[in-house]
Amino acid sequence: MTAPVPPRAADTPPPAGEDRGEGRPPAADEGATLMVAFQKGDRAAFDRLVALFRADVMSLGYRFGLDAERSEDLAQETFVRVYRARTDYRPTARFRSWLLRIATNLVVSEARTRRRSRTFSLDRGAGGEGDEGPAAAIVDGRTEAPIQGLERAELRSAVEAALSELPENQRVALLLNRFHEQSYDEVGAALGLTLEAVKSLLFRARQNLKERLKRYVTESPDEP
Amino acid sequence: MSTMDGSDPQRCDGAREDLVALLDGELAASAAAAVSAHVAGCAACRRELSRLRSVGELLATLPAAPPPRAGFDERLAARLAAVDAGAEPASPRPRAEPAPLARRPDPRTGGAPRAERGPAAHPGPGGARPAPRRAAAAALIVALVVGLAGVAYRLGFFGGDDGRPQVTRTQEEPGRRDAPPHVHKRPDHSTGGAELAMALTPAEERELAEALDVIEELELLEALDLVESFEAGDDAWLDDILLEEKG
Repeated sequence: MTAPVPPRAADTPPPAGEDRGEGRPPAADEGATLMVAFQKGDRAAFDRLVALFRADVMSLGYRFGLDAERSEDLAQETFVRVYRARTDYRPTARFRSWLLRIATNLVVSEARTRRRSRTFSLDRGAGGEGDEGPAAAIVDGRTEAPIQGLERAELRSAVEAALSELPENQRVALLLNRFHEQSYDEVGAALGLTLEAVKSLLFRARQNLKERLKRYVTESPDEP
Repeated sequence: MSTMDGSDPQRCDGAREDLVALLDGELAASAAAAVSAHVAGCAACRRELSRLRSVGELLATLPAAPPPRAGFDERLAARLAAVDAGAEPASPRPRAEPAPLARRPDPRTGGAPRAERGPAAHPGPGGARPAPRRAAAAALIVALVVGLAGVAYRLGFFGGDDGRPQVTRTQEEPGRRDAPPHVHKRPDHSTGGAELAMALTPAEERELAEALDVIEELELLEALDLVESFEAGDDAWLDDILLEEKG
């Protein structure tokens, strides 16, 4: 008899900060504190917000499939909107969730625009646009189990391609949950979906990826 | 009914939809305990859990965005200064609302969710819409209907004498206790569909999931104003197109 599986065993979303290229992420809700300070006229607090969350916002667009330059534009636009919204902000939700909702809207709008113009590139692979630069070559080494015998670049390209083939709502939900520590509730709030719908969406997303990445998917018959 | 490896197709079906939520730590304690207990006694679900966990590990290979180019802060500062000076082109109000893919309550559907549409998505004067869009929307809907009908047929929705859906879950049969897990019965049309199987092959499951995703894409198209009110009965324009095409 195998022991029951504890929730969040080895598949726990990466701890805060692992996905960012810039230091640790804000603790608790430092973002809300800073935003409130900014509302009261502390401009330095806004600059601090940008420094804390810039990489977070950029990575949402980048992993979604935008190139580096467009991801940066997305981050700029997100912070401009935050700046404009300073009088509207109410610290009733995590600041990061509020910020990511704005960024999610922009990412989805970008996908819509590019789909209309049929220029949305889904083939940003190794060596593609935006992949130059030292950080692009860094594949974070936080995989729970080392993946051996595979070329990292090939694997990364395969994962990027599989992700890009997901329907946009599955893709953005997966990214928000896996890389931006957004709970199902928070993903639902960002996408206007119920908790059950988010659960179904993320189930289908991972099922789809499992099929598309079957060559790389491993299984352990003794999985606890 | 359990098989030799402890799997029970009906329980597995229920548990598998929860496996991802279990991995994500999003199940309530009681549900997590129930799913964990099932997984502990079901080799097939343990393997599935392992595969899903592996997918999570693969996702971890995705890189974060490269650092911004030099001058990011200066460019942002310039834009913010323009905002303060009123020189920044007016952008939409900041939205922390659901993304455009979101479903929202729509009074026309009695509160049923409906894809949001943006300001640019409204039809032209008089509700007229460009013919290419209408044709594209019509083609999409026809493809969707045909595709879903195909899936429904294969799943046995049209098997009954009375034309009503006849899908039922496979009944466990005496003498089949040794049946291997995941035996997929095909619909038996010789019985008029009275005993159709709901157990799907992986390919059928994928096909059904893809069909559902087509619906999500359709909602996206609606948000783009390529399709209007497919759920609200506002489809006279589509009827016209279909009649034209038939004629």
